[in-house]
Amino acid sequence: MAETTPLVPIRALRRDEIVTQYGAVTRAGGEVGAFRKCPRPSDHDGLSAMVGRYTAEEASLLVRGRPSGTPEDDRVRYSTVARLHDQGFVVTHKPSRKNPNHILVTHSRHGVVWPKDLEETFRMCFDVTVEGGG
Amino acid sequence: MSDVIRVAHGQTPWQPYGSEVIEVFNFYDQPLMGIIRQDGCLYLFDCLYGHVEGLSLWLYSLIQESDAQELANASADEFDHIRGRLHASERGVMAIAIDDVGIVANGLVENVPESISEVVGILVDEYLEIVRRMGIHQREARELEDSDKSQLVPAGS
Repeated sequence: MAETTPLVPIRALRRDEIVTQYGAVTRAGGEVGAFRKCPRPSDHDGLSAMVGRYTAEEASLLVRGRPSGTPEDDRVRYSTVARLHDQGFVVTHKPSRKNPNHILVTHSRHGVVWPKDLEETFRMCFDVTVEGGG
Repeated sequence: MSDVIRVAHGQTPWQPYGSEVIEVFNFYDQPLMGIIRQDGCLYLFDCLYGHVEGLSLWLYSLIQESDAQELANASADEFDHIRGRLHASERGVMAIAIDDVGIVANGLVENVPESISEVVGILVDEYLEIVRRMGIHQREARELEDSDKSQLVPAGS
């Protein structure tokens, strides 16, 4: 990612801190999975999430900058820094101006190019998905 | 030098045609809002919809060095107002992108209003709500049809 000027300083994350991943099901063109399973091929930075526990509504505000127009399509799921670390993932605080609690997840051995089994390992780090719009 | 950015099919929405990313203000799995430089000009790029979806809608507006500084120095309260003001221009470019494909369509927008991001957001939300309701109606119609078929008595019984 290019340099950014966050309003909060970068900090070290504690192992017990909760991690929220935000996603949304896409209805246009058929319903697909809500969460990104691995970094984009064009992405050199990692997979995004947020440190702290957020509802789908709160996560939408942080990521989109406004409430989701279709909150029933929004999803969040939770993990911890420790669960991700213990599976070899590297979790780094990378705040942006619009999202002070943004974090990036990479893998200590695979970086941002994750083999299929690592996608499943990442998924297993998270608890049950919580739907928005409730 | 051009007052509109050059974008084309297949290009990454946040870095079209050999542009350089100067600053990122919002990032989630990819840069969602920031400043890029192309052919010596600065452009504010902004994802208006599709921050986490496979289909996304982007707006590009020409800005000046002083505008970039103003955004970089803006407080959280000031930021969105300045962003809207910078998008308000005679000409901007909008593009549709698909995940892992890149830009698939783009067009020139004239007399871009300051409220462009809100207007587009409302329209997209309305569209998605209609798509969602249509999906529910189609599902209910299929279930009703299946139910009717299961209650049919075979001929001759």
